Amino acid sequence: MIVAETGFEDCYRQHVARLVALGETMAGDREVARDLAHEAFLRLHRHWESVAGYQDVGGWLARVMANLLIDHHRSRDAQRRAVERLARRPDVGSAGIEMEGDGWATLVAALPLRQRVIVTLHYAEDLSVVDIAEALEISPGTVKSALSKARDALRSRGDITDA
Amino acid sequence: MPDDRSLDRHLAAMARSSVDRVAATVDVDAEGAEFRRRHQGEPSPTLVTLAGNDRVAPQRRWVIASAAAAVLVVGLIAISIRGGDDSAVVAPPDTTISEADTSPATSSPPPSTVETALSTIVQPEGTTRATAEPATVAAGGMVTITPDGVVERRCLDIVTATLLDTDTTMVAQIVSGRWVTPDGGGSDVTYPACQGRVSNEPVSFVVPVVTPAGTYEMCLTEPGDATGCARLTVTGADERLSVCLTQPQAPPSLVDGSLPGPATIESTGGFRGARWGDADSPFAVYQVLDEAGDPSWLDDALADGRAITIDNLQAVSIPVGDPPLGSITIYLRDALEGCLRTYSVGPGLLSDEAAGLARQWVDALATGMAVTGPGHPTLVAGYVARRYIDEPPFFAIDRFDADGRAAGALSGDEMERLLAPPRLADGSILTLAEPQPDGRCRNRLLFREDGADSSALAPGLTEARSIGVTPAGVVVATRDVCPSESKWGDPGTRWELVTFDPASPGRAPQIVFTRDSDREQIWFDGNGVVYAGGEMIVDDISDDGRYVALVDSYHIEKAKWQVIDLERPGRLMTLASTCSTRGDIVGPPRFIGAGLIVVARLCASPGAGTESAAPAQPIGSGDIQVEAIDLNANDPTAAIVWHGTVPGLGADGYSSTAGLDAQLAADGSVWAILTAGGDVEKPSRTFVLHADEADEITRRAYSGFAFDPAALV
Repeated sequence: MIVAETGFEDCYRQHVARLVALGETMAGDREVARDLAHEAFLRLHRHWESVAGYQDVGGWLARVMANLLIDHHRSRDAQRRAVERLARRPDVGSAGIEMEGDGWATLVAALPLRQRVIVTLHYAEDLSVVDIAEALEISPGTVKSALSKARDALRSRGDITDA
Repeated sequence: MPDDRSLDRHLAAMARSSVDRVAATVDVDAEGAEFRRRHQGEPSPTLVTLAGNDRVAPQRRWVIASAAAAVLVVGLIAISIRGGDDSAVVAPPDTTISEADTSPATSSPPPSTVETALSTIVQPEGTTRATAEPATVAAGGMVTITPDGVVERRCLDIVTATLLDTDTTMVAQIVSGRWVTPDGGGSDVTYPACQGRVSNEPVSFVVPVVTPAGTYEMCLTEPGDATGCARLTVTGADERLSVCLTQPQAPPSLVDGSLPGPATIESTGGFRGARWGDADSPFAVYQVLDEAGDPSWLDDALADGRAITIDNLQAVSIPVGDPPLGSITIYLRDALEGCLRTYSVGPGLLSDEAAGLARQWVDALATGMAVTGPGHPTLVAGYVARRYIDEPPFFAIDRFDADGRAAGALSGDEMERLLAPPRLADGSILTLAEPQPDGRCRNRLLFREDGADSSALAPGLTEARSIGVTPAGVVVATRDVCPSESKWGDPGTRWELVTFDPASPGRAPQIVFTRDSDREQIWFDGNGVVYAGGEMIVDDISDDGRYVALVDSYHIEKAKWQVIDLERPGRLMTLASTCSTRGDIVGPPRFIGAGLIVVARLCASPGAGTESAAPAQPIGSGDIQVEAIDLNANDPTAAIVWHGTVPGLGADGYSSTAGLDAQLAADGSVWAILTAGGDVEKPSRTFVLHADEADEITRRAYSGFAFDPAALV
């Protein structure tokens, strides 16, 4: 049982809730977030010998989560899982941000996926422009541009308030 | 003027709060059970990853690398036992190798396994199912490896190379284009974040020019995963290419357009580079040696039209960090020669400035003409300019003489004096407590400090949001006034400008101007914090202490300036103007003595109103008018003593503001320095205006110009 390995389980318990929450904030979907969080932890386990020594394992997981999410939207397999999920759920909205009453979720729901991922990494995970650029393999200019557009979009909402 | 930071802080608070709330709803035990269920069939991995996002001692890395090679070989044995069944999942041996353990006894496989490994390595069939295109490449050339299916790249910028055709195992890594060997070569390399990507996409990279000739197993993945490993023969570097990458090639100019002079070869951590210009100069240019740059940056730029091309010359500038605080890489290639040279400039440059430099280089190389820097007109006096640096306080100020020649930077002491808080007439210091409060209705505590003693300034003036002190020692302060339990926007909340003379401590502060809160100007209201426009901040005070210039923020990133006559409280001044309808004052007003004020103003379209009618709205557009106004003139028509403009020069796009400084010459004429016309990543242009003339003094890597250094802080 791989979760039972020394150190890994503690790490899992320490980070899984926040990683799922982060994924849900970015994806707007708890099930997607859970899928990706499990995938991220599987990768962590594969690389446990090296990643365990990092100062910020949570940051590593967040970066993996962000890339998995972006890949997820391109993935045929993800589409298949999504269809299965939809079939299981009695009532599904469009892209369905499920965190009603959450000011941040409401704010970022209208942003394109990449902007949503970038602003979440920036604001929730406190990653710098350069860190985000490295994590997502895009230029810092692209990150800055996305952040600027996201800020403009957030500002343009006259009802910008927290829950 | 507030910037993005306030909003950023609040958005960060919202985001973290949101994630925390959602995290609290996650059932950790249930997730753990689900994780176990989903991945019960997952083999217990013993993979060893060579790279991380920290700096690991190279020796330790290579102990791991050697061990990894052994694991790979044992894996090969497992493959051969399974009869080459590609579909079979081959479980690696149950051998865990710890990075922390560097002793040969535990980090190496048993001797018998090593012997078997070496004999196995020379039989590449089965170890490499990916393909390399071309299969043979000269060192310094580009190769593309196509995995034989979906692989998980171990680290995006790392390729592991195992030399196959020798009787000794030799493993190296190509890390972000650099050849890193176990003997310490490239030991100072910073390993990139080790984050895998699952993909079957081809991967292209440059084989470093220093790669020894031979046949290699090049692995995008963990060695041993044949799906991601290809067989590649590397031949000696082409002589011309080798010369190109190992010999410094002087750029046509330094950043400021001056000639580069001789190169200085530097070696850091085993890597060589060439430098032109002084090491501490903001204009120095560096070239990377012995390492072929990644041509995809330039190729992509060529494909989408961003590259600069003249004939066979090609260049592109790519920011490395966040300009102007980060450096910028300029890739330069002569397509006929085929060699890509990599230069580095900055910090201090904006992206557009670096692109302009690259364009100048290509022009100079194509025409054989030297780069010519901007002209430097002779001014009435020397001036100063501000440039960004990558350490606190993140800017420096350089002096230039009246002919435009560099005259040294302000010293640390001079910078400290510029940034010092205001002093009262008795020498005590007036300070506002840190940190800057979030939002409206939250003032900062106001202290008077005299040596080790610190006390409130006056019972009626214990807090403020901005302060200034007149030459006579009168304190000018702004503050929010909010009744108890109220928040900004509630009835009774207001902003006010007050004065207080410490020489008359028994006298209450005098209210000069007030502005009621306006719910229409609230930008953000959440978590008990309100950000709103309509606030004015003390910017400057005239030498006679009568007039105060204030920054008036009407947008989170935009502002205009107002002037108040302290002897005529209760109203904003309406300054005379050459504009038929006065638009906003978009630059800091300058009090230049003799009762004169110099402003930079936009002219409004007829019917747009005046600057005092609608404080929340910007007024005016088009070119900036710089006007010197006699504040003592009784007749407004005679108040304008001089005005000038630069056709086509409007306010900076991002902030809708401009930079302005001015001074009165000995002959009574007015000289002004106007900086405007920029935008995000686009540098502003700077002109000296005098009489009917406007001379450009824009300098690459400088973001502000003035006669007085105090105008730049």
